[in-house]
Amino acid sequence: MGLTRTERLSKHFIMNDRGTSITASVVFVACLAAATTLAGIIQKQRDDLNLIVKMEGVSGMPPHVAVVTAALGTFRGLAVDMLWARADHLEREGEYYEAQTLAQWITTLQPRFKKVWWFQSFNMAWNISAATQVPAERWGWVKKGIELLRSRGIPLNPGAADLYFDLAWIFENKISSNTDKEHWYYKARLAAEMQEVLGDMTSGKTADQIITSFQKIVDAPSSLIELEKDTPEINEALEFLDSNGLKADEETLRMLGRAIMYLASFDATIVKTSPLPPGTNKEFLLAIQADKEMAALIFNDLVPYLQKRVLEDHYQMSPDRMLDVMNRYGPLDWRHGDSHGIYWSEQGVKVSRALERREQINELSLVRGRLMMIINLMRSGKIDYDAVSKRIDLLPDPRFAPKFETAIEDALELINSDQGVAAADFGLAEEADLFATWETFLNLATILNFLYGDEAEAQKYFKQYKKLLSQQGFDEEPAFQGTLENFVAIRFADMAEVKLGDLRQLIDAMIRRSLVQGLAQGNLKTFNRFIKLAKAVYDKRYGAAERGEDTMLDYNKLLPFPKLLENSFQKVITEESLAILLRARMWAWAPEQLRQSVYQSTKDTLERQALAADLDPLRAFPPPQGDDQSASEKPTTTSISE
Amino acid sequence: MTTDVHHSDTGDPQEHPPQPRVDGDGIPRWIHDQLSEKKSLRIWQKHKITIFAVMALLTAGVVRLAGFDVVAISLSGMICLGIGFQCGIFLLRKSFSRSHPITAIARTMIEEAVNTKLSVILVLLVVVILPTLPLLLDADERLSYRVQFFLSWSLSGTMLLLAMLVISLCCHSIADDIESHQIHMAFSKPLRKWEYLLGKWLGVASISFLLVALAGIGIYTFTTVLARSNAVDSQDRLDVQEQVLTARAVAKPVHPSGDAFDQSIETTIAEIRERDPALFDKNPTGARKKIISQRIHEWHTVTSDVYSSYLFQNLNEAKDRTPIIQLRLEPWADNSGISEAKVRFAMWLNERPFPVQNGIHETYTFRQGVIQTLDLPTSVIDEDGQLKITIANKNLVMAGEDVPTSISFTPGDGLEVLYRVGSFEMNFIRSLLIILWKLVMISAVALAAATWLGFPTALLTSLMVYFTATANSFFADAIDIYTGLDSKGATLTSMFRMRSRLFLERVNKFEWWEATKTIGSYLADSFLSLIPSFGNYDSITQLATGRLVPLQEVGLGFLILGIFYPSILLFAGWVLLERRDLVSTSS
Repeated sequence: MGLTRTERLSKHFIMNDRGTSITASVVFVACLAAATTLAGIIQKQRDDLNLIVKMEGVSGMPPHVAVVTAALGTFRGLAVDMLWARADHLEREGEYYEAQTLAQWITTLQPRFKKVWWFQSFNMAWNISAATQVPAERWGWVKKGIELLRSRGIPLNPGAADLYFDLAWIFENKISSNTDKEHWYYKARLAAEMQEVLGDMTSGKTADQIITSFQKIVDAPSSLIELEKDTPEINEALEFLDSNGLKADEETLRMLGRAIMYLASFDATIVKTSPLPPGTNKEFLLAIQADKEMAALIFNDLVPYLQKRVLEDHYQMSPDRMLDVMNRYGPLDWRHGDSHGIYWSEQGVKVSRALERREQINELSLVRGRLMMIINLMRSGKIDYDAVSKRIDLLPDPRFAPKFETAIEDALELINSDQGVAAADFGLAEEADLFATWETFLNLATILNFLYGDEAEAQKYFKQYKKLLSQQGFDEEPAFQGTLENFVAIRFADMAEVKLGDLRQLIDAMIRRSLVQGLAQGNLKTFNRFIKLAKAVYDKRYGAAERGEDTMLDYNKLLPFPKLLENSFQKVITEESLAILLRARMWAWAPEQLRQSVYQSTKDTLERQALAADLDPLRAFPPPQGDDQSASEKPTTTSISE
Repeated sequence: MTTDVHHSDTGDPQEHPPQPRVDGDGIPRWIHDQLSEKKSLRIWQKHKITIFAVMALLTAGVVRLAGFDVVAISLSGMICLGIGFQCGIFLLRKSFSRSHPITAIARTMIEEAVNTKLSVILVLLVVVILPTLPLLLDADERLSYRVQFFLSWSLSGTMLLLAMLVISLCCHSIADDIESHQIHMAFSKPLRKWEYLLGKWLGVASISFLLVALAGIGIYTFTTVLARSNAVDSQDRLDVQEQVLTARAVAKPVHPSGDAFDQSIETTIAEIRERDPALFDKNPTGARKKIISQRIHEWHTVTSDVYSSYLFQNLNEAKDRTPIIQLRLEPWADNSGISEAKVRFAMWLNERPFPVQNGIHETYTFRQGVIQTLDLPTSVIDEDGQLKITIANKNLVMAGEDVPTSISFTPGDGLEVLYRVGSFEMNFIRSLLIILWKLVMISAVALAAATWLGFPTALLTSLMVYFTATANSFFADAIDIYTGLDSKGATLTSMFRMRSRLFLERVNKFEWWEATKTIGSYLADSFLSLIPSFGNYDSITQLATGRLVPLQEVGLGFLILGIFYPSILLFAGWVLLERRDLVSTSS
């Protein structure tokens, strides 16, 4: 019989068993050889990219991270690829609803891959936040970026110095600087959050007093057991809290903090508002008010303990190290973004100096960055935050100047030490690398101390500055030819972006600065300094920045100084582009004579503006005493000065 | 009990024990008869679903009273889905109770789905995972994001699990029939092979329909509950209503001068053709397209000295339905080397400045390359349903530049208006239908594969097809990039020419690995071209982002995924089954 169709097919197309076995064996051997060859290369790549999660490396990880990283095995990489692809695709489409969850999952699957943490946190803090217009939402994304690094990335990778620097960068660039259009909102939110926990630690205090207050937090017990051991009567306080429906936790601390902020608010006297913020336990506050001993126990013993716990548990910051940083850099206000930037940068430097691969880290740029942060703090390190109006003002703080000197001395010491300071591809750093930073500091220290601090200190820095520039051959600049006052006036013109030849504009700018940074902050010293400078300029008729160029001054165009002051005050107090609360504070602190001189001409405008802002005109702009005095009685400059 | 009286060979009547009569479930009837004597069990048999439902409600109530609201809702959800499944199976059994070969096969398929362990596990996963997904969401996250995330992942997860179910069920069904010789018994009856396949497919399609419907009801319920939870702020609540739980159509801009603009383009083309005929001789279509593209790009570029206007039409419906519409734009700063350059512009809506705050016409400042969504009031739309958006460049001169940078928008996606045209509910149903068409197509793939291959191979083949369909565009891009054959906007012919040229070049240079990759790319692309891209019917993302799932897409999906592909695949399966020697395969 002939072959069946199936048999014919089998004969032609299907190999016999022996053939199949031989072929399979050859393929197997070839694949095995190829895999063996490639295994070494792949392993090295995994090592270099830090993709390997050794089992001992899983220890210390949170359970969910350990389970996922160990259980998925090879498929972990595939899962990560898919998540990355999805995150990238959605972001390109402008859809961010999965961004945070995907970031969490990706970082859970690749906890040791540093770039993942930076990429995801950067993505949230910069890219995604830029896609929204609502300030609260933008701040939410910036916070998420911060928390991803601070609460997860760094604890899981404590030896990764880059992550500390990345975190410092977010604080400095996103919050402290003015690159983001909502930077004021971020500054206010950070200030509010930190003030709820730490209170206002810097206003009206010297540097030593600030550090002493913070020491209390450092010295506080770390646990409730320790607290009970140190202060047995704390149990009464805990029972007291419990009887008022409260616990010894972060929520209670913040509630107290908010209440204190409201009660201390200056703007609360102007704005119609309830005396306490929503969510305040009024009964508890009244009870504390009635029981002084209990209040002392709570504020002196319990609150420092809670503050310590919140700093460590929520913010992952060590009070010990915070104090170290304050001792080194000055009375840092932890409401300021740069303070956090300095703290994290410091931790990064500590970690990086212990690394074997120091040459990969540019420590010089870190050192420079830290010095620039101190300079920024000098420019605007003093925070004035009002919880009722959510207003935040950043003012110069020359108290940081001595600490900058310490910092730069330390930096120079490091540069000259055996270890040196790494400058990545440029080898080791040299002293000359810090020259520009030092010059910037001297310029600023002179001006700020003259206007906001100690004139004697200003003289000291001015001398140092002149000496430095003469060494460089730049001592012939007009700014350095005259007195300190002359120098400050010329440099002020640069800062205020005003032409030195336009005397009227320069004086106007100085008066304006005196009002906004002096009167509006309740700082009469600053107010008087600026007025004095303006008067000096007026008297000396500074008109030229270039050497040899004389100014032709038309005396007829310049009014008497008191009139100039009055006109400027009138203009500023009615200026709609300035926040009305700012102007109300200006009014409240203005000298009586100044108010009297402008009241008649401005009262209708001020009343209208106050009503439009839902403020009581009599509270916002109360009439001066004896407002029936003649407007022709001009206050003299001597009555306005100190 | 009944007895049969038999007569023995000697003629004596004898009493024999009753022959057990076995029901379809394999349990002898007399056992049922015995048991049914007990009243309590009778009640349980008759009312088991009701009893179960009551127990479920009580349990959920107790959990809720204990303060675990979300857990109670999740638990109730699980139980309701389970009950719904039981009821659905009951209804399907009734629907296919008619006596016909196809319906009989469909009915057995349904029974198989209910009895197979893997199917049960996968169904359970759907029932359990859906209600627990809300528990995984971060309560501090914006509500709009949570709702979107839930919609996206619950539907995607359902799709994945049901695809696994359908594939395993189809492959197992046919493979098992062949292995166990049951297929011979089936074909010994008056049952044609195409009826057999069609019946299987119909059964799986019915199960898919039931499960998609159930999952849909569950997802819709949880979405509604979730949407009622606390929003971060009022904008968040508004986003949920206007940007998520809605169906928005997209309006693209047209030039305000309408036909005059088109005419000007034609004039330009004519002028260039006259000036440079060689350009047109070589590739007239390409040259024309290039000129049109250039003119449109110019229109979408706002230089510092011009105002550019964009007209959006047919927005009457939006005016009536909703107080706001969304303008989505992705601005780019041209001639700027700064990667995070900002763009600043002022905007007018139908000649009115927008926005105006405290009497000042505010400008917008955005980072380039980041998609922005702005809410616009529908009150600015005119009576003809038109909205003209005028943009003026307010960029400052950047450091190192002489003139301010231009602002441009990518034609097509870079500037669009989204407006509500329908409800979330209808959009949701359309999305579910598209999921159903995909499952129906995948079931046809699995059935066709199983007619030819053994169970493991059929399973792997089906999975490969499914994942390829899901990630088709990703694979296509990845292959092109990997092989260095990436060419944006290339046609099939140009890609073929380019690859052939590259292959020859690589062979000439003895770059064997690169040449191998080129061949591999041919094969991969050929394979990809055979499989439809599920990305072209991405109803899940559309639903999650509040975009309309067009009826045309649903219809096209039905025709292509629901009819065309299954027809071809089932036909191929029938041909293979006809030619297959089932006897030697199963022996």
